Amino acid sequence: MIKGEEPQSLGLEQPGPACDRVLVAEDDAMFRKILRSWLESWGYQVTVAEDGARAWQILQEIRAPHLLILDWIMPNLNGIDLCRRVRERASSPYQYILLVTAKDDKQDLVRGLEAGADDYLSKPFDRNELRARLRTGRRILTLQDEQLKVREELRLQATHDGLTGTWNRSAILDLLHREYELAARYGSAIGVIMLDVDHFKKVNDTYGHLAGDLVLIEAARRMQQAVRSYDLVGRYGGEEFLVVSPDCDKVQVQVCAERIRLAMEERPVLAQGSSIAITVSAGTAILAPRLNTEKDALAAADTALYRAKREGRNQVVSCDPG
Amino acid sequence: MPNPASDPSVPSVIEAATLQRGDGVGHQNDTEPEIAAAGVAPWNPGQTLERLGGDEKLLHEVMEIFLEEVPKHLAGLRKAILQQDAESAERIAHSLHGELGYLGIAELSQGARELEEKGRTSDFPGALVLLPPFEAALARLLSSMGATQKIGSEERLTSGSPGVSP
Repeated sequence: MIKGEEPQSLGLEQPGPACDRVLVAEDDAMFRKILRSWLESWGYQVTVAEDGARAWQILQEIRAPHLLILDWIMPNLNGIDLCRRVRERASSPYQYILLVTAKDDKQDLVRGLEAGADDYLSKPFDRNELRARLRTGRRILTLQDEQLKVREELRLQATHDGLTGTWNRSAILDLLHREYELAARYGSAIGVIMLDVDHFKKVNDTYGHLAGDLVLIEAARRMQQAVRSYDLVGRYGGEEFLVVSPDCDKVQVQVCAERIRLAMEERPVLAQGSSIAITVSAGTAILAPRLNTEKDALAAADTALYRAKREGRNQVVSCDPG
Repeated sequence: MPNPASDPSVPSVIEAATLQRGDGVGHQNDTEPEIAAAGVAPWNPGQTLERLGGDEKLLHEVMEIFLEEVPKHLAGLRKAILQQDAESAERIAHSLHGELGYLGIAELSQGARELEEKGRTSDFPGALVLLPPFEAALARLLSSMGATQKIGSEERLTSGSPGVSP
C-alpha cells in the first residue's frame, strides 16, 4: 500500500454495488500484480484471469463483475474477440470494458473501440489515469443500473395490478393467449377460472373502501397461495379475478377452484379492526385449442360464474360441456 | 507490517542500485540514480517507482516477477521463432515490449517492439538477426537488476526489517 493511503480513502466516491467487482484479464504476471495491487487498494474486489478463455468462463457466472479490464493480446482468446463476445451476448446489465494494451497506433484504438470496448488505456499506463477511467466506468454503470431499475418498475406497473400485485387485466389476457399458443403446439388444454368476491359491494358499504381494498388484497393473496406455482392469477376488474391453469383438465380445474373457494371461507379477513367473512363464487371452463377459442372459454367460465352466483354463491360451477 | 516506502531502515531499490555501483556511476542526479553499467541498457528505478505510485514494496514484487518471467519469455520467443510460430512470437515479444516499456527501459522495449513486428509479419529470418543481440542485452540487464534486487533483500535482512522477497 502506498504511504498515507488507506484502502478506499482518497476522498473519492466508493464503488457502488453494481460495479465494485472488477475482472482483470491479463496474461502478463507483472501487470496482473500491478493492477491487482492498485485495484485492491482502491477498494475493488478483483477477479483475475490469465487468459481470454478463462475470462469468458468467469463472465458466465451469475455474479460476474461488471467492470472489465482486458488486455488486448492474450493467449486462447484475445481482448478484442472477448470484447466482441461480451457485446454479442447483449447481456443486461451492461458490462463496462476498459481495453489495456501496449499497442499505441490510432488504428488499433479504433479497432478496439469498434469491437465494443468503452475505453482504452495504453501501456505503460498511469496509476491516476487508470483510477480516473475506472471511475468514469463506474459512473456509467451506476446510471445504467438506475435506468434498469426504472425500466423494471415501469414494466411491473404496466403489467401488474397496483392494489393486489396480481397480473392486471391486459397482462392476464396476454398470458392466456401465450398459454393458448403453447397448448396448440403441444396438444394440451388450459383451465380457466373466473372468480368473483361475493357481496363485495356490501363490504365496501359496511366497512368502507379502505377495508374493501384490504379484502381484495387478502383475497388475491389467498388465491395465489391456493394455486400451483405455474398457475397465473390476474385481477380481471373490480372484485373479479381470472386464474389461468396451464396443462389442466376439467376435474383438475374444478379442484383448483374449490381450493381457492375453501381458502376464502376458511377464516375471515381482519381489516380496519373488523373481522369480515368472505366467500367467492367461481366458474370454470377448459380451453382446448382444437375445440374452442380464448373468447369461447372466457365466455363459458363467465356463464358458469353467473350460474354459481344465481344458485347461491360460495360455490364452484363448471361449464357444460367441458 | 511496516511500509518499506515509509520505513527508513529498509533500503530502497534505488539505494540498493547505488550500493551496487559504489561509485555512483550512472547517476543522473542524487534522487534518481540509474543502472547503467557498461553495456547494460539504462534503467531508472526511481522512474519506475514513481510510476508505481511510490510503492516500494510493489516495486520489489514487480522486479521479482520480471526477473522470473523474462527468461521464460526469452526461451518461448526463441522457440516460437525457430518453429516459425508467428502468433506466439508476436505475443511474447509484445509482452516483453510492454514490461520493458513499463519499467522505462526504452532501448530494449524498442528492440522487443521490432521483434513483435517481425512476428506479426512472419519475418523469421529478420527475427533471427535481431534476437541474439536482444537476448544478450536483456541478459546483462537481468544480471544487473538481479544483483540490485539481491543487495536490497540482504540489506533488509541485516537491518532486521521484514523483506518482501522469500
